[in-house]
Amino acid sequence: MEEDTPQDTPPDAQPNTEQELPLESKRRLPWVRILRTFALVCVCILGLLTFSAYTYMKNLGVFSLDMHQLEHVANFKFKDNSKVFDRNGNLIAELYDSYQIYTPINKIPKQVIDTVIAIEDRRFYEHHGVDIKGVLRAVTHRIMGRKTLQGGSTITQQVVRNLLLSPEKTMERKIIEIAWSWELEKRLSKEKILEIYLNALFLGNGSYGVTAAAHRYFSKNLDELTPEQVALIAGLFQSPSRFNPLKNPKLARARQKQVLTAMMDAKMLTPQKRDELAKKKLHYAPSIPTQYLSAPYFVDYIREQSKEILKRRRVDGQGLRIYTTLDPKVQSQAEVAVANSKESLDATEKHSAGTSGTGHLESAMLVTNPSTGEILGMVGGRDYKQSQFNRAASSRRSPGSAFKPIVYATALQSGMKWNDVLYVSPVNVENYKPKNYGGEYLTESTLFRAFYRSLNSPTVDVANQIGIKRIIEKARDFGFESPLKDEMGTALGSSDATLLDMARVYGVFANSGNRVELNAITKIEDNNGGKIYQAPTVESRTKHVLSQPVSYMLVSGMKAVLKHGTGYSSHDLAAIAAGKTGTSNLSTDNWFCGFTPELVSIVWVGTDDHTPMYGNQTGGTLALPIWDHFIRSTYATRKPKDFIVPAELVMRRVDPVHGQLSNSGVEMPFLTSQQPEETRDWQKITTSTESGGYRNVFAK
Amino acid sequence: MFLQNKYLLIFILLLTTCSSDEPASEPTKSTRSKKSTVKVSGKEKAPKNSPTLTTLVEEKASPSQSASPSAPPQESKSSGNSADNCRKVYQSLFSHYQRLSRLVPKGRDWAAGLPKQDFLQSATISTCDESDGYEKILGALSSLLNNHTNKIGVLLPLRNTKPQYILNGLQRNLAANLNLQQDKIISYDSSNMNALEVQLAELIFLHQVATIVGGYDAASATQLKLWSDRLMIPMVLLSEPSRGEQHDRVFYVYPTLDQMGSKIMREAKAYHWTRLGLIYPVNGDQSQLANTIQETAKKEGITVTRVENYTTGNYESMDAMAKKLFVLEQSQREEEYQAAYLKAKKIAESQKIPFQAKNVVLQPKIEFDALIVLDQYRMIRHLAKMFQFYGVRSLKMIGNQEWRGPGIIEPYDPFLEGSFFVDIIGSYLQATKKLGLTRDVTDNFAPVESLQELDFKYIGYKLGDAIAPILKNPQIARRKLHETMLKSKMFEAGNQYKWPMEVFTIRNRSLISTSLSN
Repeated sequence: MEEDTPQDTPPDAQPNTEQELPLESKRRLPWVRILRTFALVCVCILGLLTFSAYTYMKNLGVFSLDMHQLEHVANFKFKDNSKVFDRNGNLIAELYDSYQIYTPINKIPKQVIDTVIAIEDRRFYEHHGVDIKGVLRAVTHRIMGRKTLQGGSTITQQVVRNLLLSPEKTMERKIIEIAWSWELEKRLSKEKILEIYLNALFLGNGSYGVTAAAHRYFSKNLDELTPEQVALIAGLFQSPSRFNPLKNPKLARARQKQVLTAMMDAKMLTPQKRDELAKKKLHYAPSIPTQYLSAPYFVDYIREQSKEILKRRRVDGQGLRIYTTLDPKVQSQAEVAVANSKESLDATEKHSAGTSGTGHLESAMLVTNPSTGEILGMVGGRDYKQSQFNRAASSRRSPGSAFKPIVYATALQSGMKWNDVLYVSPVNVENYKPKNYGGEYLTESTLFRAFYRSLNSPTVDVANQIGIKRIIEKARDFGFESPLKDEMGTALGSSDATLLDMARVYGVFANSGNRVELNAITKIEDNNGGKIYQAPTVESRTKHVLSQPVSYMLVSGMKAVLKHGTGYSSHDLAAIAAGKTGTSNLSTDNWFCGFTPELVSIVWVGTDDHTPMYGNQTGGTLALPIWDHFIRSTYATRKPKDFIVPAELVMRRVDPVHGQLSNSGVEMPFLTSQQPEETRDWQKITTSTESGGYRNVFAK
Repeated sequence: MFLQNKYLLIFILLLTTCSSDEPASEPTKSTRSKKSTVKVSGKEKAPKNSPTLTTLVEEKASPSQSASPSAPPQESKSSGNSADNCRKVYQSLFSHYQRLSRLVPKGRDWAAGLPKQDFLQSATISTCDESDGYEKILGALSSLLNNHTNKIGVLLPLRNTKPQYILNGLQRNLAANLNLQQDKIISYDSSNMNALEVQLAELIFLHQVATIVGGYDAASATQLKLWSDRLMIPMVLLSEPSRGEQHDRVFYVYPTLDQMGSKIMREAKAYHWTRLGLIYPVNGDQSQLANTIQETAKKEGITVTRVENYTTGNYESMDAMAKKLFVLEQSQREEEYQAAYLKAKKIAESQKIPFQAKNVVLQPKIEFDALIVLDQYRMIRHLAKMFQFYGVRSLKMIGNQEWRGPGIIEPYDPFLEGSFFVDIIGSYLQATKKLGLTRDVTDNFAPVESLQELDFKYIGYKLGDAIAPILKNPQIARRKLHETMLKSKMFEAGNQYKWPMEVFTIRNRSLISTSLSN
């Protein structure tokens, strides 16, 4: 402090002071003065620098850090993959956007912790967030051109950098990083900081944290890792993308060796052991995402459903435990059925490409339990790897004639009978002019036959009689949720539908006129077992929307589709099942909606770009075989149940063309009060009078 | 001309040789009379007031005179030679009876009131040379022409169902309304044309019938018409009159296409329709009616503006016909089509929707007030839909009996409201009641399997109505029975039965029996 006073002393006072100094001292006086002046200048410069630094840091906000931001780290919420289970409790998927598996610090093996500390921050337990020695060492090494295994940033700094700061490398960011690191160390324990570090940092290939990385690269839990594997993972912290062993195996290997050296330096390994481990081969787990173990389209659907149920924007990585209705056996059979169609679909696709389009032929299938509404299986496409678009849940396509059961159910409920006769001719309702497939005209047909042969013009006649509005109302009752156009074309399925719509509708017929809301999630829990959501009971999701007799009449009609109609190629399945084909204009969509009392299975085949299919492809030629395969494989090991025939109905054999009782006719159900007449000869025009006079009294 | 001359000759001869006016059917009087050689044998008595021979001859002559006004009247007066006259009578009339009588199987009993079998069969033209030969011939003829047993002879091909039904309907009518015993209707199966004359001979000589019903087919009708003229016996034929022919004693009791066509036209006229379209199938039996309708239309002053035909039951053919009928072919209305095309394209562009040329359609041109469709009801329903398909909003249609089936109104198509058809039969309920049948019928409809039976029995029933006046007046000489029939006013020109054609209109989901032209 003495040196600081002269400047405050008047000049005339100095001699006095000099007089008191010995001669030798007097000789040295100029040097002292020079030194003093130099020191003074230095102090001034230092002061100026300090002031500048203070001002600079103040401007940076170092002295007014937002503690709320620090709270983010202090109260860091570890992400956890949400898990999806099938109806048997087996894991079918983990939902995450970043692959992260939280592991408390006390569960992380010491070997892992030590290795990471050895390579990233050997003085972690000694500094207070910033390792001056480490920084100096790093600087020295850099100046001297020597390699250093450790970087200048501590683990605390890396946490701050990754969780609070932007990735750019500037002086300002470094200063803030140091400031935050000091503050963080004041607030969190070393263990907590280390836990965050080991769980939250990105380690490449979509994984966050050491546990996720262990899973991702080696398909192992942390405690199953070998030292050389641990070394590889520990090496990823510095540059996860660069050292990703799946992308850059050589660099990753080099980095692993650095880690092993660092372990040796930290006395964790002997040189011999280090060399030994360095030579060991590393076997990586496949890089295929392990998000979906099975039923990928269903899992996607579950993710969306969960968001809707929980009203959350995110489900992935939320640590949810989602229990679903998926029946793995049904799912597997559905997937096999779809896969089995490859040959026919590829052949059609090949022909289509050569003639009318280039669209890739896709297929989707949805299987539900009609009495519970549970979704048992869902196949959203032929190959999830090629296309993740879930056609079973998200695709809206024209159902074609698969919509007709709604029309006929409305008609039968309004008093029409299966043996009512219609004239099959071209129809024009408000300029809507549908054609019959195959051009079947100038015949008569009962409603029943028109239904099982899927004739368009009689259906439009029926729809015209009962009114399209009533049909739309009925469709809504049955659970058809997609928009329905208020026009006659809707009666023939021109309004697009999802497979879910169709499953709900056909579920009504399979379930004696009761609509049960579809359900794919039974409950959702958090990762501690706390209940977040419980699905409503079946009873609360059930609504009676169609009288049981009419419902069975439709079942019978759809059995006839298989026995006598457009589904004849699977006619033997009519013994246990029923269903309806559907084909949209130009065969862009092919459907088969089939059901037993236990399973509703909806199959769609078509092109995403609406390219027409080659030839006369129909629901009976492309979709039906998939359903057929599924039903046969499912019921190979399952005893089929019978549909319940309501007591109000009687079965009668009726001429399908003219509607009178006939031993050679087809079986149709009737309300006991609406039984057909014994004879209805006036409707019967014999073949001999077809082309000639019906009643030519002038000809003898 | 031959027939007319024949009557004239008979008239002349009888004038010169006969002076008796006594009824020929009174055997005692006849046989006692010196002026008449007519002898009647047999057990049955002829009607009491049988006409005298003179009146017979006059009656015979009068139509021929009227029919042949150019014949010189003095010719009849110029003849004075009875032998010559006798020969002429013999040849023109007696010989026909004689020839027929020889066909009667031997050993059969002839009816009473007929001339002696021996004389009828053995007389020759040289009999006229005998002193009383002429009288004998005239006497025989008198009994042959006048006497009858009030029985009905039926010559129908009864192997076929339809004639059986007709006979049944006839029997039913006569039994119900005239209490006529079944044995009064003598029927023969005339399926074999070779046997027709033998059957005719038996009806004349064994049963001495009042009239003969037959002519179901054209060949037998031709034969019977000839024999009616030859024998001067009324014949009721189940066929249409042949044009240009005149047979005094031949009556036609059968609904005809002319009557059907005429009724359709009169009804159309009552609606004040002046332009009609006509479509009919080429693969049916409707072309004849179609022709008749076109001819009738001309008479009624109605123009048939369009005539199209098609193959019924063939969609392509019917579709093509509909396009022609309503002038929907693009080639016929190119300019109109182009305008519609451009308009539709413009609309599509303004609404930013894809333009589809196939949606450009021409509106139908309807160049008639109503359309006659001669097809069965099934096809009517299909045609109605096809017409609507092509944009026809409203069109009255007219049909024939082929329309009559429940399917014409079930299920109901409002498009057919106001359309009508003509049928030969009215209420099936009443018809079955008259026919004593228990069939599952309504007023308007009958089961298809009963239709033929009901239709043809009904024809037989109407036949009974037509000949009832004959049977109600058994006293009238057979040669005069035709006058009785004409007096009944049931026949129109050409001796054709006025068949009551019925009109059924589709109204309010049902068929209403109504006619504006009655």
